[in-house]
Amino acid sequence: MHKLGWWSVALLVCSTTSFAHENWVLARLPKSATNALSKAQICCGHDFPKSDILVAERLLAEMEVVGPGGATIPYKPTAEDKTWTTDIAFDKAGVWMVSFALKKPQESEPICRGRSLMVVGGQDDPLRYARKKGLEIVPGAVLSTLKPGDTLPVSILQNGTPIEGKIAVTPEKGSASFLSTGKDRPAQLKIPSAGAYLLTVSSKGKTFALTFTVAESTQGGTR
Amino acid sequence: MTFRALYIGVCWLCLIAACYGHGIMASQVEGGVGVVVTYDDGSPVSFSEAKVFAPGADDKPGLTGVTDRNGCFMFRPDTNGVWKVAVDDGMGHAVTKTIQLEGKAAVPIRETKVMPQPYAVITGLAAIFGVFRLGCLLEAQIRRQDEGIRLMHISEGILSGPVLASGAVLATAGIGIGLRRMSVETTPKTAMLSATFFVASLIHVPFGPSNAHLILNGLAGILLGWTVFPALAVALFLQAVLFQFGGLTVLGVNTMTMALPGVVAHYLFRSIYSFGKKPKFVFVLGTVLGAATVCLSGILLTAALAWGGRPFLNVAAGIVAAHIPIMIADGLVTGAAATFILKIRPDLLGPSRLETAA
Repeated sequence: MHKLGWWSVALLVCSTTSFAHENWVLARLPKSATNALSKAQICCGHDFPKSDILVAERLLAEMEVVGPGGATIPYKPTAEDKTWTTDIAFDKAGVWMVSFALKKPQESEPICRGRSLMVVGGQDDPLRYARKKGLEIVPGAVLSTLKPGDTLPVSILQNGTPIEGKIAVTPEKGSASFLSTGKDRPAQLKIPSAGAYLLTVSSKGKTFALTFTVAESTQGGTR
Repeated sequence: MTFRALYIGVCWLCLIAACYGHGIMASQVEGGVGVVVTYDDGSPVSFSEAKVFAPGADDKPGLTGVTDRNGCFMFRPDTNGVWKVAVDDGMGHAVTKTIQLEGKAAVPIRETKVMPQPYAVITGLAAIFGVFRLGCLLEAQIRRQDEGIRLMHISEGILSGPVLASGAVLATAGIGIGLRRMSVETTPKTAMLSATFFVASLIHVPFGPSNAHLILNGLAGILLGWTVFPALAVALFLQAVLFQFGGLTVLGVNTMTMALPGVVAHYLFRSIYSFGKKPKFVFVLGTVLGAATVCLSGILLTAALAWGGRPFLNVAAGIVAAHIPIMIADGLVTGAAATFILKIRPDLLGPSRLETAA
């Protein structure tokens, strides 16, 4: 009977993750030379990292890149098939944040925010992963040295304060799963394989999506 | 064992519900011409793009605008006919509502919930396979308990060739009409009722020397109309292939005896329902039509046996008598289901006369 219950819960979880669609931004570093332009894509769909739906332009807001020095650079993407795409030059070593929001023009607050974390040149700093503004998912350890088999602590913050919640984890390779966080207990995300990861959370009608990439080698998300 | 089977069945039904869990729906504004659009959880689809298509102009919107904070969008039509309002929140959720204008009044038409075709197909398959699993478990139990008469299924080798051929031709025609009327949006509903029929026939309750089981072709007919033909044909085909209930050569006759009364019930229900839609009235109407559908199926079955299987004519009277408890049970279940549907999705039962006269 207990086993039956677990099967039914697993079934429901699978069905939910199969059919819910997410919004995210994903930036990947070029494998080749430094100073090459990287592509960042604002996506929407059911099949991370592939985008199925082109989000309406009127909803796009707060599209900006935050560099290692804290400088904020706005970007303007163009529609390309089913994604909004832009080229970004990550020309300084350190932690970069590519973010966007979905906001209805008549509303004051976005309904969804997305962020992609990049570590360039191996100069990692977990303190720069959070902006302490609104709802966000924040990794609690360095991303640049992350490799398959490692465990990454992740927290949900609301205006910088940890809150309880459920994080949906969708890896590029592998199946989706859920993690629970507490106010004083981050969730432990086991990294099963290299590739991009999408972490999403919903709270009080707002959603947040975080993406990052785990490299095959120990130089995770870096160059 | 039964509990386990039911539990898994419920889980599968929840799975199907989850498939729907990401859509939006629209309802017509009362007292005006417009729509209120909400997500499945009831929250409004606010500040979303709305396009209005005038009658006969489905390609180009005659008016565009934005829903308000409550997900409401209203417009002032200048002509009678069928208007369409399409609302898109820009994040993959869209819905189209059809509003018919007659005179000064807006007559509600059944709403169209946009479901991408692959999901409609997946939902239908999930319903069929989910309930198939439930059916397998129930069948295993039934086989252990009872090997009695299986009512309403004529087996192979009983009917003559002309009867079998006539049944096949008529059933094919009915299935053809049903398929022509089955849209992508109604596919999950059809699959669900097909699965319901499939399972209902497998739950046997001991009754006297034999046993009885629900048929629910009345309920399926009321909700599906002509689409009941393909729905029941699929269920009967699976029963014949998987459980040896009925048979492939008698599939046409069995489909006819089950589905045709359902279509009759559909038209009777729609014509009588339009006189009022109080729960008690709908319950009585559903009960009577549910029972009458089983009765009519019994009569058709008897007629088929009398026409094509003279040696089995003496069984016919027994069949009709054996159907009396099924008629009662089917009628009550159909009445209760119709009353429940009236509360949650009255549009599935069709427009009432009160609305068309408004």
